[in-house]
Amino acid sequence: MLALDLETTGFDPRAAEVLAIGTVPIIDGAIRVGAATSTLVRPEGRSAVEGIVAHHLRPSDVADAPRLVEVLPDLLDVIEEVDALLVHNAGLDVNVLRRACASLELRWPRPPVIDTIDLINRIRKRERATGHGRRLPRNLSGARQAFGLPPHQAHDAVSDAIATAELYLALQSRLTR
Amino acid sequence: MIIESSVGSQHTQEALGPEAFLRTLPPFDELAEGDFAAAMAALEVVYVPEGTRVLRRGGEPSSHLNVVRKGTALLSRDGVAALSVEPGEWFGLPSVLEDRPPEFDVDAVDDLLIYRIPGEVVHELARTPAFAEQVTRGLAGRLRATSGEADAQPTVVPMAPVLTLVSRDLVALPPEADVGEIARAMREEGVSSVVLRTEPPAIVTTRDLRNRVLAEGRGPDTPGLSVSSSPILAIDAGTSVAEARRMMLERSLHHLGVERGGELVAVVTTGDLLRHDASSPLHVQRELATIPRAAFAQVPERFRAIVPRLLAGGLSPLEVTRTIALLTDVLVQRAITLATETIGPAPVRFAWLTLGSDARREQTLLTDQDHALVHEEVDEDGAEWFHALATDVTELLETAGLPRCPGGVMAVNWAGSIETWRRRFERWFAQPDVNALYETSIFLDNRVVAGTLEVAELDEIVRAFRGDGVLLARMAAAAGTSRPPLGLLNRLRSTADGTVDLKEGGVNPIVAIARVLGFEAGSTTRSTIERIEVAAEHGGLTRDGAEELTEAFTFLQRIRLEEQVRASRSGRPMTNRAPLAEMTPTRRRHLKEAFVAIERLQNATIHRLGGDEVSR
Repeated sequence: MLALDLETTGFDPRAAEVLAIGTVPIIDGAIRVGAATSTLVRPEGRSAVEGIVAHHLRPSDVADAPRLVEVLPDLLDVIEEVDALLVHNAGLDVNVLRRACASLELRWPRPPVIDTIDLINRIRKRERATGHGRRLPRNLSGARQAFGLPPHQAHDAVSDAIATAELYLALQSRLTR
Repeated sequence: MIIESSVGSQHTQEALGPEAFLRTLPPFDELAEGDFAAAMAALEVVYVPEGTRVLRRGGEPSSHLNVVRKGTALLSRDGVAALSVEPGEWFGLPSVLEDRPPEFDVDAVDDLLIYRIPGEVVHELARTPAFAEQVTRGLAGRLRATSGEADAQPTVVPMAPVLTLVSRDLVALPPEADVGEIARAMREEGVSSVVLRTEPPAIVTTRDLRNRVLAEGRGPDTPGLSVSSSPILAIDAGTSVAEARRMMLERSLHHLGVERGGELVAVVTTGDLLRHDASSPLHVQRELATIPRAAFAQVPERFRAIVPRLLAGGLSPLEVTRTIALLTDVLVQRAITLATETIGPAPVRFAWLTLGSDARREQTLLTDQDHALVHEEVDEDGAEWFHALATDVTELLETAGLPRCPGGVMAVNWAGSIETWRRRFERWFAQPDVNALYETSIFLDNRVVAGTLEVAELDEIVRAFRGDGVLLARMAAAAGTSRPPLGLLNRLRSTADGTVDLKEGGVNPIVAIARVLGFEAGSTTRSTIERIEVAAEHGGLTRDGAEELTEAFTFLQRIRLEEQVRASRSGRPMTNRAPLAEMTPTRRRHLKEAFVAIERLQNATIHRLGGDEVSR
């Protein structure tokens, strides 16, 4: 399984461009931090500035980075190999990648996608059924806190990917009890 | 209010990724870049649900070194909780390093987020000095490995020849000595290096024993020559102290040879340099011996300046407290001299007793006055003279930063003839009620600092009562009044302000147990460490127990001194409390282990002497 996180120029998958990609593999239930990867990406458009609050990347940070067309094929090769892709809020990140594939005429490998938000929803449903439902935040930091995980360095692609992977292990452990 | 401590160190609450988190922790914080990168390349994160047994005692060796990031793990043996492992602390290191079955069961008390490093990488890391410290096994070893701040720079009497620093003969062994013999020679001679008589001579230091022997997994029969350094960097005996110091600083040497006529005659250490510091105890001692009344107010400043220098110079905390006690003696003697200049000479012979930590020579910077007077028979005028003496000395000492004893244990209230004191001691020992036990705990620790009267007969009363089972049982019960602040699962309990009381929870219990054990053995030494030693010789404690208590005591005194130095530097009032949140996880763990050992030996001693059957 590969946990993945993107930093993008916005929250609309039709317009957002990739600024950074972070990944980390999970093998036999262990997050292999040493095999994590982190790549900055130079956007094609000029829209990068607008999202600075969300992703904390300045245009100058990515000015010398490779373009998406240069890094995407390698990422797709990796995704092709994994049994599942793990993403927090897959609706945004996966759709951004799919649209990028379409526009660059690359094949999206259609991996099974696990969205930590779906797992949170399942736990929420289960807790409601047993009558002690609580407020479960869906954002990554809030969800981590709700499940007893330490604070993490948000808005950094690889740190968010590791944070997502940790959240997944916590959620998975909760769901199998 | 006492609350269960769930505060980790501050950084366990910060937003840190795995790498940054581990980098803040000993021993990772001391790893070289390359070693740390290698560790991080192999780093894994796992999640362990509550109730899982992570390692089984006597089972499969641990495959990883596990560092807890979130949650609590519990080490236990036969279902008895031994130690909780909290965020920033590790478990499984001895097992993974030596590939042997775990010594404890390890269970997840709640959900655990664990950062772990595989065994093969841990084996590589074990070769680094930073990890070697952790490898030194056993509580004693780990407590010893915790060293203090080292930021004070000594200033040296510059022009004296370096040979004046040397106070002892060269400790040398034949070239074929193995490291076991070398270590024994170091222990017996109390030195940190031994010279091998090769041509040219070679040197083996305690650091070599750690880095080249222990950390490499080598045994006591390792040839000393194979871990030695040669040639020994040496200077001529006539070289100035300043020059020697510059050389040692520049080359970060802890040991430097001294030659005369081309032959090695001595080894100087950084400790030797420190003892000849211009603001060294010797210097301050000379100053105090002649200090005028008007300058007593400047004394606290002098004391506060000395302690960090001594600690930084590598003196053990016990040597530091001995030094403070020594200087306090000089101060008291000076105050008595000044007082007699005003009120005239003493009518009869007397002995000025110091009591408590000062009498045991275990005095830290935070202390108050505890003293008493023994004198020959006097009439009313004579008693008045002694009252005047006590009043004046108490005031002078107060000016010098030693507050009055809140319990009133001072010579103004506690004076009397030797006969009066004899009756007091006998009454306390014969009728050991709560008050008597309290007085006993204070007055057994006495030491004459001034006067010419012989008071040894008070010690004879102590010896006469050593076999009194009822008295011993009651003293033992009283020694259980102060308890280490341990909570559920042997967690550290802190108070509402997030601190633990090192004195009340650690030092006092040890001192009290040691006092009873010393009494039982008929020993009249006042030193806690010596009392523990005597108890081990007489079977009151096991060798291991004695060593654990000694190490715990040394460790606690060190943290107390360091906290006091830190408080006085930042202008805060000095206390005996240490803030848990500012401690590294390693230090918190050592503290916990010390408390656990104290509690165990406290209970064992009280039980053995029947103190748990006494209604007080």
